[in-house]
Amino acid sequence: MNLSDAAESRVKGYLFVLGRSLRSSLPREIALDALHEIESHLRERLSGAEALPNESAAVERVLAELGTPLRVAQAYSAEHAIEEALGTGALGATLRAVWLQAWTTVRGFFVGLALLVGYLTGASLVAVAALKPIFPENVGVMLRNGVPVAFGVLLSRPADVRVWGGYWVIPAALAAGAAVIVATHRSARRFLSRLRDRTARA
Amino acid sequence: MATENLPGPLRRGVLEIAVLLCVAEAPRHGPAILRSLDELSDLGDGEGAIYPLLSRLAREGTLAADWLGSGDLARKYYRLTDAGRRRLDRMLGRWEDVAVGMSRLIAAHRGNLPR
Repeated sequence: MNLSDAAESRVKGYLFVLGRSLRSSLPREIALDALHEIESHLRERLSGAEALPNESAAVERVLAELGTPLRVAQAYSAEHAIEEALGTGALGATLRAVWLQAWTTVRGFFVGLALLVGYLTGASLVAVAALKPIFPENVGVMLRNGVPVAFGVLLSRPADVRVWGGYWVIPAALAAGAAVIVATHRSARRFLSRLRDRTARA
Repeated sequence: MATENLPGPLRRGVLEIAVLLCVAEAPRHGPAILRSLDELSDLGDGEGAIYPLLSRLAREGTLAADWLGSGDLARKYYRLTDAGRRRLDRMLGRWEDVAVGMSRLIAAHRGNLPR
């Protein structure tokens, strides 16, 4: 069917939103190619669709069969960024995939936030181990009146705070940091794997 | 057999084999692949999932993609590469092994299943 101005505008609006969503999660070249292919699909489907009795309903049906722009973009993102993260297992690729999800879905945002806390906690523990030989009197378990109040680095230590812990802090913090990072990384991969399976059908 | 009720990983695997089979004989573009899935297998649910899958398979080198035509008539055609053909053969071999095993298992236990 030949599209009226209103229907053409609806299709262009769909493609505009899809293009923006794709560009936010895919390399530019892949995003443009994907957008071109989806437009080609829509044009072919619409050319074969019956405009009667209602052109608008026909256009909406074709768009609905494809899925919302966000769902389609998520499916591309799942196949690209998530496949790369799960395929390589690399920290950078995993963080990139989680980051993209955090910007596109509410659930992704909260999971991304939790994972960020996990990675930062692990990195902080590793930093504690690295700083212990440099500041032996400022790194360890902080005691106030004999009660442990914190673990870490305190460069300007108040008078009533005492640092407890010898060089055993180094292997302990390293082991704890590595354990937290590994556990967080596994959780990130599990999250991405579930997401990929869920978005397999957009 | 619709894939919508299958668990995620199984659905992905089934859809991947189905798509590769669709382009095994001749190059096809997206709408033709979807039509073929609809007509022959009822696997064509979720049009929006096919294109990302095709894109990944092309990136991996399982499929080769070429744009033919121009303007509104431009279509992206996919065809199996040699590597894709070998991969499809392996996948079909495994699928047939699993299918035969499952059929035997189902036949052996069909009468004993709780109703």
